[in-house]
Amino acid sequence: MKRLTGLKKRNTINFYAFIAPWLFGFLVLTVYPMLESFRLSLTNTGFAGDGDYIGFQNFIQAFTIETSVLIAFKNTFLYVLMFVPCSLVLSFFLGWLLSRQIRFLGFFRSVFYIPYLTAGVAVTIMWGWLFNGTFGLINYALSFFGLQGPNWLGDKSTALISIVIMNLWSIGNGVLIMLAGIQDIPRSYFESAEIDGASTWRQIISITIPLSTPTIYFNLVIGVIGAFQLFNQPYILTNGGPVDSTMTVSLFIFRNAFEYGKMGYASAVAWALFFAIMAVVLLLQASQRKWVFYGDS
Amino acid sequence: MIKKFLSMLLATVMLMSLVTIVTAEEALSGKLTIWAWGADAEAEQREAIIQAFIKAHPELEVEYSIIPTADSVWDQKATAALTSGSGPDLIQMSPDYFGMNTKYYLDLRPYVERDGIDLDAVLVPGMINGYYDTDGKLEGFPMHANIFMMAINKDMFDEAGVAYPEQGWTLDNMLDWGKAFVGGEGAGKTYAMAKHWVMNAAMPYAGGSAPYSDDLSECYMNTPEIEKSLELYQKLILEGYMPNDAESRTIPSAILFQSGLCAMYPLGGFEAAQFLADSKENGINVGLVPMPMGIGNDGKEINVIYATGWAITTTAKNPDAAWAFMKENAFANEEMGKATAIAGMPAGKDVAENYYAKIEYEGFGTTFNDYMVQHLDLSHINPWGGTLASTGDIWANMVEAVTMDGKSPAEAMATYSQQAMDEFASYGFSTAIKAN
Repeated sequence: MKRLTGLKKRNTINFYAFIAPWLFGFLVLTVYPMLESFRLSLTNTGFAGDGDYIGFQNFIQAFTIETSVLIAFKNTFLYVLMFVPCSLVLSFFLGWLLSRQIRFLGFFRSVFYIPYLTAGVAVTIMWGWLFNGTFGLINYALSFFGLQGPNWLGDKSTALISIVIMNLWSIGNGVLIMLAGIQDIPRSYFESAEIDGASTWRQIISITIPLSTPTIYFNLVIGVIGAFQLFNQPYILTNGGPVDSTMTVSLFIFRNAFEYGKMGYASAVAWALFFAIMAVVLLLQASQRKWVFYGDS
Repeated sequence: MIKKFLSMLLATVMLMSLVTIVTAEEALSGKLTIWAWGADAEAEQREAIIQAFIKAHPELEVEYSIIPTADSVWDQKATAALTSGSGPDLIQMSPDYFGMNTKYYLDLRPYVERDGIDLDAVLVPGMINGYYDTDGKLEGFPMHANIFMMAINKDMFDEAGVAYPEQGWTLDNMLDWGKAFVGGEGAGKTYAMAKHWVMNAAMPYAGGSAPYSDDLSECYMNTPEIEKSLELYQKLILEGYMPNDAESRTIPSAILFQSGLCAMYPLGGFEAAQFLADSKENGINVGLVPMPMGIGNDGKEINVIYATGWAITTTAKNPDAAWAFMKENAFANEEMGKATAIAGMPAGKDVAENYYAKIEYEGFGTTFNDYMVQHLDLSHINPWGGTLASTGDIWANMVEAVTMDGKSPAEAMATYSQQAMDEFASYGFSTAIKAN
């Protein structure tokens, strides 16, 4: 067996010493809870922690017997389909605007980023007031145009859309990432295009968007994962209602685990959500070869 | 020789054990560990109760923790401790929140029998309700309870020329006179009654029945009375007597009342002091009237009990000291009883009637607390607490279906009542009852 030299040995020891705290945290706080939750998902464990092994019964119940899980998944997918494309378009557009040499640029950058830094619960409650069907500011503003606003959070056809709008308000982080991506595009490309007479729109279509695709892809993946885990707004504002129209999978898991004490069942649904997210992310990863252009490709 | 020595030793040990058992009630010793939940006034109350016990029992070493309930901190800690067998001797529990129907608590009936306690004589009527498991086991012992009384805006009533409600009024007859309070637009919209969060728990009783039998053996979520409750709830919201769910989530119901926008507010015992002070500060002329009765008058009010008590864990190392604490808190230690009154009606009849009921709120005398004591037995334990929360959420869906989704009560019943019945059946209460 080959013996390590003194330097290599020291480097190896240093390597393990430096990653040990993270590794410990990862194993204890991530891997172990995941394995434990998988074990729980195969049991009928209740609040009191006692449960028997029941195989895949929780999974079968979730997807063949109980309709509310399917409703939660349907709502979550709907939210992802509405929120993620809107947030991508909006964050790209705002990122592009902020990359321009305009006056008060610093001010606008702060304006768009501040909502992201604001405490989520406070923002949610504020939006709840804005969306109030009776005395909310949004319906009040609509009344100036002779429009009768809906009961945003109290109507099952608008409740989820309201949450999408609410969350679009705080896409500052996506905007900032997009801005960094756009600013990373060499200026010379735009100068050449201008000399060739390309319009601003043409520059966006032919230069900015293609060269921003790695950033768009990153925002897409992060956005999809985050959107699948939607919890705060439905929990605080609608508690999943009206009539389960904002019941998301995360809220469903929380309710079953911590309100109904169905730890095993909630764990099974949590694993189903994990697999759903993983499937979508794998699909996105497979698709990126066709539309994401890296600098070296 | 050794044999003789060992037999002497054994006899001594047995004798000492006997002495310990005989004197357990009189002389407590050792360490007692206590876990309680709570924040603000509740935490202050628990602290005062425990300190009063420590003062009465200097011979005991008492170690205690008061843990917040926010973010499920209590649920997680208590569940983990009970599951792993590392819980305290004495743990807080509630028949409507956390802890019922578990295997982690001692049956208290032998203690009650041993001490010859006549529960009806020492506890406020209705106080022990809900602490018995479906198998007859007494899982916990009460500390305090709170119910509701209706606060009214007297000026709104006077301006509308409506008489103040009196004992026996129902929500059904409120549909007549309550119309006088419904009006306005936007920020000036007024209502007859605030949609307090307790309404979802109270309304199943409005139709004159209950969502399930007292002994949990039968579920009544498919009965005409429940449909009647839904019909009433629908009218109250769709016709503007109450704000709908989305509106009441964004404007807290207390603020609605204190802004002069609704004529009535179901006032809980746990919030009375602050609510009455805030209302006064906002210039609201508050009056206090009884809670409504169910249609058909089943003798009970549309009123809900939120109760809190204690349990001895099966792993308790000092169950006798834990029992002494529970007993003294409930009725046998006046100072502990008075400390309990900080955040609710004490369980003991004597301290509830002679101390708590005499606590005055400025401008109201003893009306509020006196009502709490007198009407507890006319109220129902929160029907959707703890284990039953999942059926409660199905009821919430039924309510939303008729109040926010344009469904008729009959359609909501057709869609959800069987679901509620199945969910209730899944708890296995009736199986447990039959087995015993």
